Amino acid sequence: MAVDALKASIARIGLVSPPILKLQPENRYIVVSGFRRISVCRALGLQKIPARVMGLGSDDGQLMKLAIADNAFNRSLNIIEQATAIFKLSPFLPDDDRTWHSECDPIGLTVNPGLIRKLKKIRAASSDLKEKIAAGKISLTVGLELAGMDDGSRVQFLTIFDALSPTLNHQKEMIRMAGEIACLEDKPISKIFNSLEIDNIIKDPDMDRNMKISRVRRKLKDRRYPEISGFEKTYHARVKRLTLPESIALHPPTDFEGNDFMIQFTFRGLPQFKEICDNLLRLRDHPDFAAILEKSREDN
Amino acid sequence: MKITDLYIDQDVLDLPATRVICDRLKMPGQVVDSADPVYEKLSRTAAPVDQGKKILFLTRNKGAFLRPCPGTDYYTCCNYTILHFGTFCTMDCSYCILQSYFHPPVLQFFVNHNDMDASLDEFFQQKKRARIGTGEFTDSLIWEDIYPFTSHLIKKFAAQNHAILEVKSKTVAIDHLLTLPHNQKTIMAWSLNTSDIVRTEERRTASLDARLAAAAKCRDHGYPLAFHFDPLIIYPGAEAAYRLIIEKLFATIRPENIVWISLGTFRFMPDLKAIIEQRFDRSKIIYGEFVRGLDGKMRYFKPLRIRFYQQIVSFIREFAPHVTLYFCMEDDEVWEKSFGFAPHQYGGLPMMLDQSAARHCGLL
Ligand code: SF4
Repeated sequence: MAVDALKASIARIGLVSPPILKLQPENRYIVVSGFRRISVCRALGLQKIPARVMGLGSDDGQLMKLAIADNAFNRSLNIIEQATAIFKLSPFLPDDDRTWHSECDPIGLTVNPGLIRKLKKIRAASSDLKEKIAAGKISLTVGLELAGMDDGSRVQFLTIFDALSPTLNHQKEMIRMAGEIACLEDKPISKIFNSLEIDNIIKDPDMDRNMKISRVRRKLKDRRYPEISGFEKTYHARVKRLTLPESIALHPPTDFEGNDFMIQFTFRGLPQFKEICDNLLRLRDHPDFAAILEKSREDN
Repeated sequence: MKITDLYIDQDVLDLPATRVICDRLKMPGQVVDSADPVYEKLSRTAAPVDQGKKILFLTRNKGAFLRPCPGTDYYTCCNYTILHFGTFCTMDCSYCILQSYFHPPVLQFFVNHNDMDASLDEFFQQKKRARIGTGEFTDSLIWEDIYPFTSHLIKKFAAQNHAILEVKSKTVAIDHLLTLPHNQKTIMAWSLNTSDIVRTEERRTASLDARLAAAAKCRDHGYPLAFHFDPLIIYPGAEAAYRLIIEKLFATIRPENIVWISLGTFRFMPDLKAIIEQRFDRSKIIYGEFVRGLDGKMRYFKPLRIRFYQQIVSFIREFAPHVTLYFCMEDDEVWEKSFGFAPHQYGGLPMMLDQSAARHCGLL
C-alpha cells in the first residue's frame, strides 16, 4: 500500500495490523516491523497505538520471520524485495535447499533453486558486503557480482560506490567493463583500477561527483573499447574543425554501422537560412566532412 | 554420436530410418506422442545445452524441408536454400548460435524422408538454379554414423543438373562418401579457423589438419570444395594466425578446386553472451568491440571489421586472385571497402555464386 493510501486507511478505520516490537533490557523497545505504520501514525498525530511486543528472550530467527511475514502479507513484495528478505533470513537457515523452501513458503516468500544458489554465494561473502546489502546501500544484483570477486577487487568497487554513489545502471556498467577488461588482459580488477588511476579521480578536489563518475566511465570505456573510443574522438575532432554554428547539427549513423548521416538545422528568417546554406556549401568541399562521410579512421 | 536417451515420436515409429537408427544405436528408445516429455526432461537438467547434445529425438519435420535462408533486409544475403533435416549438434563451439536458437536445444533428426524426397523432386522439376545446404541448423555430417543421410542426398543431387548441395562440416566423416557417384553436384565444405580458435572455442571438432586432409581426399575424388572463414574472430595476433591457415589451405588445395570461400566476422544475438560466459568461462571472444548491428545482432565495430576483412582478403588474393570470395551478411560499404566493388555490379551475390557453381559443378 502506498504511504498516502495507508495514511487514509489508518485515519478512517484505525490501525488494523499493529507493529511488532522487541523488548530490550531496561524496558526499551526496538521495532521489528511496521516502521511505515509507526511513522504514518506519528504524522496523523496519534499519541498511542497498539503494538505486539516480543519478550526479551525471543529468538532472532523467529523475529526475522515475523517481520518478513508481517510485511509480505501487508503488501506484495517485488522480486528484489523478496530476494532481499530471503537474504536477511538466510543466516538463520541451514544449508539444505528443502528447508529454505519449507521456511520461506509459509511466510509468503517464493524461492527457486537459482535464487538459493545466489543467496548462498552472498552468505559466504565478506561481512562488509553483507552489511551494505542489508542496509540497502548495494543492490542484491550488484552484491552478487561483487561476491564473486577477489577481496582486492571487491574493496575497490565498494570504495568507488561509497565515494561516488553511482546509479545502479552505472554500477553495473562499471562492474561489467572492469570485469571484461580484467578477462581480456588476464589481470585482477584491482590492477586494472590502479593502472587507470581511479583513486586519483575519486580524490580529485577539483571535480564534483558527476564529473568523477563520467571520468571513471570514460576511462573504463577507453580501455575496454579502444578502437571505438579512438574513432569517436577522431570523429568529434573532425566535427569541431567543421566549425558548424549551433543551428546545424550533424548526426552520424548509430555506432557508425549504417550509412545514413543526417543534418538537422533550425533557422529564423531568410538571413539565417542563407547563412545555413553557405555553411552547407562549405561542408561540401571540407576535407574533414569528406573524411567523416568516408568513416576513415586515420585523422589527417 | 554419444546418445544417452533416445525418444521416438509415435508418429515415426514405423519409418525405415527410425529402424536403422535404433539398430545402429542399439537402443530401443522411448516412444512419446509429442515433444513435451523430451523438452521437460531437458529443462529439468542443470545444464540443458550440454544435455541436449546427448538426447536424440526422432520425429517428423512438420514444416517445410526446403526454406530460404533467413537473411535480413539490410545486409546482403546469398539467398541460399536450407534443407532442414535436423537440429543441433554433438560438437560444442562456444560461438554456436544454436545454443540460444532452440528452446531448449535438442538433437532432432527428421526421419520422414519420403516427404523430404518429394519436396526435392518437386524443386528439381522447376529446373531452377539453386544452392541448397544442410549445415544451417546442425552440422551436415555428424549424423552419418547413425544414418547415411548425406550419401542419400549426394546420389539424389547427382541425378539432376540445376541445383547443388553444399555439405558443410567441422568433422571429417567423409570416407564413405568418397566413391559415391556425385556428378559434381555436391560441394564439400569446411569451416576454417585459426588453430587457437579451434583449440579453445571448438570443442570436439576435427583439427584443422584433419579438415584439410579430408578436403584433399574429397578433391581427389572429384568433389568441388568450398571453405568458410566464419566466424572470423578478432584477437591479438589474429591476422598472423589467419594468414597461417590461409597459407596452409593453399598449400593443400589449389584455388581451381574451390567453388567459393565465404568470410564472416563473429556476430551473435545478445542473449548468447550470457550463455557463452556461463558455458565457456575461459572464452574471451564475446569481449570484442561489438556494437548492435541493424539486424539486432552484435557485430564488431564496422571500421574495425573492414580493416580486418581487408587484411584477410589480401592474404587470400595473394594465393588465389580469382577464387570467388564473398561476405556472409555484410553491406555494400563493407564490400566496396574490402573488395573494391559491391555485389550488384555483378548482378548480385546470388548470381555471383550461381555462376561460380555453374562453372565448377556443371550446372545447366
Ligand atoms: S560445429 Fe557448427 S553446429 Fe556444431 S556446435 Fe559448432 S557451430 Fe554449432
